[in-house]
Amino acid sequence: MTNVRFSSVSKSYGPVQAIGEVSLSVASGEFTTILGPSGSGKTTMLSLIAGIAQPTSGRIELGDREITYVPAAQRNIGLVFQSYALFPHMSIFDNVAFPLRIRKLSAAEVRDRVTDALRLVRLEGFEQRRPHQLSGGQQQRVALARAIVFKPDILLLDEPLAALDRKLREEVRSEIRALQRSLGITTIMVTHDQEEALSLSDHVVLLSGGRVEQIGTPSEIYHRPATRFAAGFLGLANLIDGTLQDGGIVQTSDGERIPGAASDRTPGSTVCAMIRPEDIRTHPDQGFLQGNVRDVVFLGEIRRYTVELDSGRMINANGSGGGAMREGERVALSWDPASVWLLPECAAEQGGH
Amino acid sequence: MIDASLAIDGAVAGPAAAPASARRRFRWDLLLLIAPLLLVTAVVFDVPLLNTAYWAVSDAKSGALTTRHFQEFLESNAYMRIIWRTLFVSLEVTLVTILLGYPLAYWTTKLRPRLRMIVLALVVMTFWVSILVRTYAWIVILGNAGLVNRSLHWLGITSKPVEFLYNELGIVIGMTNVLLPFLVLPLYAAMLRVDQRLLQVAETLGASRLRIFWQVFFPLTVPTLAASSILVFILSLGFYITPAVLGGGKVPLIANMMDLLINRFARWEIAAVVSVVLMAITLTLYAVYQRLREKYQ
Ligand SMILES: Nc1ncnc2c1ncn2[C@@H]1O[C@H](COP(=O)(O)OP(=O)(O)OP(=O)(O)O)[C@@H](O)[C@H]1O
Ligand SMILES: [Mg+2]
Repeated sequence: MTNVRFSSVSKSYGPVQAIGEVSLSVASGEFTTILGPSGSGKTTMLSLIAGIAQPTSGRIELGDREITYVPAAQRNIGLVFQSYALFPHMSIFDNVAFPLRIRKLSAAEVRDRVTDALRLVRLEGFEQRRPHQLSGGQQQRVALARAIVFKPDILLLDEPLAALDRKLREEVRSEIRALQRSLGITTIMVTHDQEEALSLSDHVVLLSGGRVEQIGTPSEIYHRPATRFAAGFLGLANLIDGTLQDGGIVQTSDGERIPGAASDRTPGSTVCAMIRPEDIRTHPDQGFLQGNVRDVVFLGEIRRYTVELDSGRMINANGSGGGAMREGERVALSWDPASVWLLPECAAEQGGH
Repeated sequence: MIDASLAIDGAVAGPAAAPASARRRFRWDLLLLIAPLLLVTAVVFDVPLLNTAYWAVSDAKSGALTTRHFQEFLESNAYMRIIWRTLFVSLEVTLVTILLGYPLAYWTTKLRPRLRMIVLALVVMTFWVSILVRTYAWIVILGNAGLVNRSLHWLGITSKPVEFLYNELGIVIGMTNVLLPFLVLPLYAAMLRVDQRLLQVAETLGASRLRIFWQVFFPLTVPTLAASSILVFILSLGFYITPAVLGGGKVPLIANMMDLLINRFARWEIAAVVSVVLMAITLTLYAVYQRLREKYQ
């Protein structure tokens, strides 16, 4: 069942178009992330769903109800801002109880549900504190408790983890995921952290410059990116332009021959091939392409080599285990041709990344 | 004019100093830096104050300590009555200033930026006009043959002039006019500082506009409202020109009584006693306010 649907929604602030012609739908109970660089319109999308901003054109539906111009107060949507936005003059209890009191629940019921919500985010015993007496991660969890305590139809999270340090971020991240699973609540989270998007979500909506670049599962977007932007934004990608030859080989203008998967595209057409660094194997002398190691970056589990091919092209490749290569060494690169992906669109990139 | 200069000092120090929670380590080097300033302040302001306090409890001729002046002050209930009257008028002025100033500040924040500047300029402009001129201007407007009365008469609403002046109403109108900026400006700044996202979040949680205002917006502006109201109240306790002109001498307040005591009767000791009592009341109020502020923040 569809829960949120955008039909060619645009939003402009004066002359600035924040998002343009966005269409998408989010299924009930799913965890969707909106991913994109800064200024790409992620917060704007959430504001439109929450109702704190109205679209300039287009249509937004929630379930089978059109909500394009329904006031925020009547939407029953839980929203967590990046800045938490806890009410500073209220105790933690009162913050979480705020939406319940609006709904005129009895005092006993308010107490029970606030206690439950705070237990869910592991903050029992903090009821009487003020927001400024909590750490960033704790405030974040209070904001979360306040957004779920009234059983909203949808939970919206705007970069909920951005202000937390790495360790805490991973902790809160898995908490959010577990909470979402146990409540079964449709969740849309904004992030500009690709790792967060890949690890958390059922679906990723990739935005760039206010437009949807691609929608898909994390693995689809990672392995089968639709555009150069998508390929470059999620992880490191080697992008090679050339013409398609028989047998899936991509021939570059420098004369390199890149073995790739068989394709149904007509031979001779211009294509853009993507190979992820982790799919490339290094060997002292056996491979498809030869070059010299220009740079080695140690990243813990892996080493990242930057290899300068004899044609001058730079290729990133990962190496793991023993037998590290050093700068200046000769190296041959090879890969499984099936791991080469031809981008469906080969147009030169419009936006930077 | 003393009113105005004193007031401006207060406006800068009052609301700005209020939210700062100064729980830092004591710094001797800083004390050394401000020592000259402290010394000047002590000599110029505090010594005369102590001197006044000394007059209140000493015999003018012999210089011996005495409670005689305080006894006289208490025996004649005229003094205490005027002090109560002043406190009451100040309270009225403060309330009227709040009732006018809060909506004015709120409304200003909702305007487009250009209009905001114009409204603020109009509010601040009253600072540039001498209190005396402004006070007399009220006579032109509110007098028996003034603008308002003539309009009312012309519209047929009243048959004889309404007595706006030379009573408490006139004083309250005049003082409110002078003191309004001290409330509006800090409140306006505080309202702009309220995080819009809090209001938006409250909306998504289901709150109506009325509830958002009373449960989120208003409480966030209360500390500034309280600080500037106290400032307005304390300032109105010492008003001299406005009550003298608009009260027509019929509604004597403390400052006017002092004028009589000193300039007419040369009763410096009683004037000193009144000052000391007034100061005690002001300090007590201020202490109560600080207590409440600490308790609720
Ligand atoms: N209130 C506003 N007035 C004018 N322009 C705005 C407003 N809000 C957003 N914009 C513009 O709309 C565009 C998208 O903004 P948005 O806040 O949605 O970006 P974002 O993807 O959330 O970015 P970030 O990752 O930095 O939070 C930006 O170019 C921004 O400048
Ligand atoms: Mg944003």
